[in-house]
Amino acid sequence: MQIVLGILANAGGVGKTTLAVHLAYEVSKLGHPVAILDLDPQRSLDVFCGLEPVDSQDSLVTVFSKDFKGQWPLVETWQGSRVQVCQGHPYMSSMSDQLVTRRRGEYALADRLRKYPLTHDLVIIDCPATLGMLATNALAASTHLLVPVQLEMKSAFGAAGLIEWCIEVSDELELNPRPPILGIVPCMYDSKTAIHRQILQQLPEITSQLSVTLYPRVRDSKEFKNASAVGLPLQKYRPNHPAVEDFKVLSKDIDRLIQDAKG
Amino acid sequence: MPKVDIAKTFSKAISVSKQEVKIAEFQKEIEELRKKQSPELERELDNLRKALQEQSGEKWICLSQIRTNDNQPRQSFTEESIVSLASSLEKDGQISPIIVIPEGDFYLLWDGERRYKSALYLEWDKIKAVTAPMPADLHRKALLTFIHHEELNALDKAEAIVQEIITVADISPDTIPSGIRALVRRLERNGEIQKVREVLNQSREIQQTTISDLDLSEEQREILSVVLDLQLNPASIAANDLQMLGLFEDLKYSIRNKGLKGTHALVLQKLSSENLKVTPTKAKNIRTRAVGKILKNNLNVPKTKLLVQSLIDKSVGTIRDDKLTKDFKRLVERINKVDLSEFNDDQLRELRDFFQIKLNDLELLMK
Repeated sequence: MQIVLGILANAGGVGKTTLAVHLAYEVSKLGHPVAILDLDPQRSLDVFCGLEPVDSQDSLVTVFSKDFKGQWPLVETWQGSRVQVCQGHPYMSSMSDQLVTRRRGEYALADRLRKYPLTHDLVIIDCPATLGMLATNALAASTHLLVPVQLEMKSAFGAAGLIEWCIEVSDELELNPRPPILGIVPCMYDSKTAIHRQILQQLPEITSQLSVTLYPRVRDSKEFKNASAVGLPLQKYRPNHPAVEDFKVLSKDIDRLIQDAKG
Repeated sequence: MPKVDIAKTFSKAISVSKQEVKIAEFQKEIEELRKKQSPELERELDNLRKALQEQSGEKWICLSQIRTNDNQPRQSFTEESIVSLASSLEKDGQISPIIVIPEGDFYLLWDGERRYKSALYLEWDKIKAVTAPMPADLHRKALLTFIHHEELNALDKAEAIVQEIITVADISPDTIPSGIRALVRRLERNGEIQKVREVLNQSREIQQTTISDLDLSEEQREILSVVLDLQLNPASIAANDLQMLGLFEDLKYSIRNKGLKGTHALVLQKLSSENLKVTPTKAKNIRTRAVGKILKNNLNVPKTKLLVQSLIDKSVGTIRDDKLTKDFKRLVERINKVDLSEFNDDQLRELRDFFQIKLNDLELLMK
């Protein structure tokens, strides 16, 4: 079995794609081939991976088309890494509207992954920041979920709604087993901001009540922005930067999940 | 800056996920109670049903969409118990919903197989159900639950053990009985059977360490590991359970569908065509009649043994009688047919002497 990790958020700009990209790179360094699927019509993944935008037929849109025969449009990223990317496209949003009326529309991505499986140990699904049809597709296709949260009220509020949504929709879709929330990752943490410190302090109590793992926070750093400007993960751009450490615990957990899944 | 409190924000998310956790805990507890055959089981099943009803509500599910759990080792429900439940379902309606686990377009039956079978018997289209999430490692749970369940008949247990060995150790089914016997012989020869018995209820790690210390083949190690993991003693499997697998098919059928006990079946196994000296079909008929008699009169094992012995005596005895009658008739006929004029004088004289001796014997016997 393969690990399909849906990265979901209910608010924009919380560091979702940053998390997807750095996690993918870190896990690939542990020897696992990784694929990232960009469900987000904003295609911010292209920027982080230093990729030119592609036409819709070379993007994830084609995977949803009715005549898809298993030719996943995967491209290599970051020379020498074991990460491949299936790029997004603005047309994803109208595809999302079409899925509403399609039979098994909620399961479109899950059905594709089952019928035309990817060979990677880990598939990361980067989702749009709204809980619509695309997020539902990600949920149905995932074996595990990861919830990045920015330490501000808007994002915390969104995360609470997201968790309720996951349980409710898993139930409606009769997902079995339900994809568990692997954990919550506090992102863009700035120790100089009081509200960040306050919310971070309260999170352990909340996550323990939710029976969900709380992962170490990912700090905010302008170097993330500088790295993405040249289309590289921080690990490649500045390997000795302290923020590189912030992904280690999470990637180790995922490495263990992959090992377990392989038996 | 005012102090923020995000606890309120998460309160609904927390209550929804607590409900989830509660359901998982109920399921786990129920498996434990089933194992112990505790009277609290029904109450806990009720709690789970309520929690599930609260979460997603009851629904009516087509019987055709339900799959019974093939991994549920208990395959036997007597027709009597199904009919009696069916009449209550018909009279009072279905009171408690069955519990199913959605699986694609189908539902896997988790609790309520007897209700399900009774509904089939009544030719209902739909049955009331609540849906539960898939418990981790369903097969093993079902197996552990039922393998130590007293109601589980010996045949189901034996087949479940073999099935588990096939699944876990990937060994061909035909070689498993001989594999287990060889394993036990080897343990006995090396004087290590006691060591094995001591780790029966120990953790998996301790069991594994013990197994790796034993002088066994790779296959034997795998078999032993599966068996110990189920908290079963290989020596007792070899002595008791494996015999069940060799039973005649009609006896297996009677165990599964008529409620014949395994110990009775083992006694009835003596009613083979070899022992009875009849054709296999006739032997089968004799066994079927014997099963009927045992169940009807509720015979215990010693009485069953007597019955079996008398059936064998009768069958073999009748054959002897039959054979003698036939030989006698043939003899008389042959003597009748003899044309004495065909013999010469010497032969006639010899024949007369022979008959005179036989005649004397005959008169002696008749006195």
